[in-house]
Amino acid sequence: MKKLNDEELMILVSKGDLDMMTILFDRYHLKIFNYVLKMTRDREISQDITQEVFYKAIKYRASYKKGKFSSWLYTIARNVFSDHYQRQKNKDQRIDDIVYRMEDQQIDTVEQNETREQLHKALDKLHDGDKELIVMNRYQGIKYQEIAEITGSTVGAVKTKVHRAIHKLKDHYLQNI
Amino acid sequence: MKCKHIEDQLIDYIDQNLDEEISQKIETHLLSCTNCSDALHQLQTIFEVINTEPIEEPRTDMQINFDQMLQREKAILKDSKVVSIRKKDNISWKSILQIAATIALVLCGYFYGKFQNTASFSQEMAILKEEKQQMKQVMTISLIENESASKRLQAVNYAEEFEKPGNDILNALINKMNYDDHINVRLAAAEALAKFSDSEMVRKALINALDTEQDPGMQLELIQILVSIQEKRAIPSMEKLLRQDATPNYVKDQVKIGLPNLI
Repeated sequence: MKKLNDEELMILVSKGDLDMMTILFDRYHLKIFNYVLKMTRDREISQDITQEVFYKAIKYRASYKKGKFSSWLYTIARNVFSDHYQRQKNKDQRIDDIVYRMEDQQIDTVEQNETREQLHKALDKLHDGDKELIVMNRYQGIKYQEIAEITGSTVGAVKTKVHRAIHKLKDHYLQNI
Repeated sequence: MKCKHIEDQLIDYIDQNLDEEISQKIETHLLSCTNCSDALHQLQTIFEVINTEPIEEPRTDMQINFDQMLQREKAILKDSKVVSIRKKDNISWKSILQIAATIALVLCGYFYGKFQNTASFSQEMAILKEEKQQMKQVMTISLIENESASKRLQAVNYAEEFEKPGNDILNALINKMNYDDHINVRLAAAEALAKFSDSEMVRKALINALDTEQDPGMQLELIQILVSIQEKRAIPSMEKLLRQDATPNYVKDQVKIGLPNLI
């Protein structure tokens, strides 16, 4: 069973063989977790969101329609993330900000790597949309074509936006050093 | 080539996405231009940092939670199967046939008696009912074109009461939803149409309306309706709203709340 590709496994899941989701979880939970972690910089939230993503993948298995599995999963991840963000916005923002900052510091002291720290700060200065594109394309190595599928855009538009975002990131990064 | 042009292509140059020829040109340019070669080094540094970024591991309870969730979902799936099998086991074909025969006999007796007595009467009733229905439709359609907004509103509310409205009623409602001068009439028409969402024509009209609608109040109403009738074809229009700068934030928020429910 482990030799089957993602799409074949997901079709089995959608037909009711839920155990196959275990293999897909093994293949993808680190990717999704790291994607969300880069976006939120918060381990607790990232853990919750990743779990929610796989829960939804099982719940809505019938809505999977033979497309690329990873694109489908990332689409769910983006929805869960923006859902969470929506809820976050409605809560008391000041308390949330403090929590975020404390988490940031913890991560940074562990890393002890100045360039990396600078880059994270530069990344946080970008809009969520730009940040997401860099995380997907550069940190996660997702091709322009697939990002276009996930975000409902075209390859050309995605490529232009990613390049623009990288140049913005570079500018913020240079300002910091 | 000019520096600006070179800088635009540096990322593709690093990723080796360019033709040999262009790549060569950039290389020769870089040798003579410190600005551009600086920019190249900065990009390379950033990509280097990104590429050596360690992969973070979640806590181990993520795996445990996943397994528990999977077991729960499997149990739910199994439950629904078990119930249906058991039912089949308990009731044999013989008793099903007996019950069916009894019901058939009772029904036959009932209809025989009823038909004998009231065949002509019920025919008349049916004709009358149909006439009343037709009259109501005609009245609604004429009222819906009235000059007074409150009369039009009343007509829209009448239309809502039909159980199976004809195409001319639906068309009139769609027309009101799209073009009426008065926003309250348009909202009421959209609301009425939501009740007839079984009809493919209504669904298409609602999707088209969202695509072209400019009024934020109507946009909100349409998004709510489309989400509640689970119309997946409206997703592109909703995403378009999200992208447009002109869309007010509260409409975007509504889309953000609604979209996940369609997936």
